[in-house]
Amino acid sequence: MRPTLIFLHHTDLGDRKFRFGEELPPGVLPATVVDQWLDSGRLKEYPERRSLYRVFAPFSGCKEREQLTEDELTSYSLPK
Amino acid sequence: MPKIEKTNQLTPMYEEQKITEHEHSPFLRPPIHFDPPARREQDAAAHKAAVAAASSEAAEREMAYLRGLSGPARVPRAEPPPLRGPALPEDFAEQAGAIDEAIYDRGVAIHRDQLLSLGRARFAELLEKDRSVRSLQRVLFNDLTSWPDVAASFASVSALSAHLPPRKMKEQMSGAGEGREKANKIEDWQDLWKAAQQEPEPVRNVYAFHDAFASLVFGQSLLLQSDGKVRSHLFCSGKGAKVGYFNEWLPSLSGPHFRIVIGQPLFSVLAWLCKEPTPLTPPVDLAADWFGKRAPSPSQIKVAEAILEGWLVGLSSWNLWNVVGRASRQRIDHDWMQGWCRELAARYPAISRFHDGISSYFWTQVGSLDGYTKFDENDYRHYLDREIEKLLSVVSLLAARSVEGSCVARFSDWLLCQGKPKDSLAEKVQEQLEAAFTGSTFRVTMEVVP
Repeated sequence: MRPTLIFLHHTDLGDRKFRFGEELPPGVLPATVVDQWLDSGRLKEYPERRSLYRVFAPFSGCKEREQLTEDELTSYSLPK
Repeated sequence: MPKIEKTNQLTPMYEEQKITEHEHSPFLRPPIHFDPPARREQDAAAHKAAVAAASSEAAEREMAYLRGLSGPARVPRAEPPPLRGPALPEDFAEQAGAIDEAIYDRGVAIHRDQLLSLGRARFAELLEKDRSVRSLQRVLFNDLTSWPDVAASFASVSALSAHLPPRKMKEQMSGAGEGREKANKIEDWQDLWKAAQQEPEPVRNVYAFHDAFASLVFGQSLLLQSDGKVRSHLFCSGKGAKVGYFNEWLPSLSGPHFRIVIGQPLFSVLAWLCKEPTPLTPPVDLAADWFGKRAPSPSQIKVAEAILEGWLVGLSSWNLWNVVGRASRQRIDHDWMQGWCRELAARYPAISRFHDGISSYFWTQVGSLDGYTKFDENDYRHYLDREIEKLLSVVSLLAARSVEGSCVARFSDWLLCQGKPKDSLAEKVQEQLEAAFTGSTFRVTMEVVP
């Protein structure tokens, strides 16, 4: 599972404001900037936290996708 | 040579005693039998039969002894009598199959762009809810979509329990308090309301996030399955939380639709089944009465509704407490709830008698003591749920049959129909239901889906 990037500081990105603990949408920043922010402690990787942007890719517009678990599909999704 | 006198004297010791030996050959000897072989076989068979009979008798004695140790023979439990059935045509089973098949084939028309736009708006709301959960740092969360992670977060602040009084030694010895011990556990999202006593705001926030997440998963599955029409067996008498999620996505339907709502079908069916003459008291009035308010809040009305529904399906004590808590996400006092149930029993005596009568068939003899019986809660629930479900399914099928081909989804208390509604449709459905359930009262309304 790809790690989720979480803000450790309040950050403004364009017209969006991100607060402590919020997720950085995948693919918004170039990889080099992400690395710099990770090094400077502005961002942190959380591999155990799922990215909501990837889980709901059709609604978030994210290009990366993450599958829901079988249990979640059985419990919440529309059966065939 | 001196003459020896013959007297009574004994033979002198020096004289050697003469022992006369005779062969043992008595004059009367035992007769020698010469049995024919057939007779010998007969004797052997008789001997074998006697041994087998003795062995069988010993085994029976042993079994009787063991039975005696285990107590008296158990009396098998009597089955409850068959319940009253609605007046249905003979070929109703075939009709029901055809109705469901037609509903499945018709499918629900979804407007893909509307669904996408609604999904985007709801995804933004989900992010906002995620933010509000994390902003209050009384409980620190990691992955909010995973129950084990959320449970661990609540456990870290000792909030993963309902904090009900533990079972006393006396209760454990007598087998009492088992329901309370079970009710104390938090095992799933559904049980998280029990932690609200310790951490009310985090529980509220987590529930808001989880509901939005589950609804969005449903919406995404609608989008992925949609090619203009969505077909699913959920639309043929589906039940549970998914029906609620589907209801939330109705604004994304394509074309005009309307809903036919059957008000409190559970009460109508049970009142008909038990011949209960008292009409239904609306949950608003029950809530006003129980909470002592002129205008009870929506949460109080929800509690009243949940207690009424739970009581109608025969739940009681901690089982009812659990179900009411899950439905209303509120923790209510167990003793108050018991008092309200007694009020309901007094208000609807025929339904109360029905439950008492049915439950009396589910006492099973246990153990070696004569007359010691235990209530089989699982069997009772299984039986009652099955029978009530059957009747509610008939209600839904009859309503679907009445709307003549416009029904695209049917659930236990509402139908989704496509097209524009006809004015007399609700009355027609009501007439059909009251004809099948003779003497019953159903309240059917119609509303346009926005």
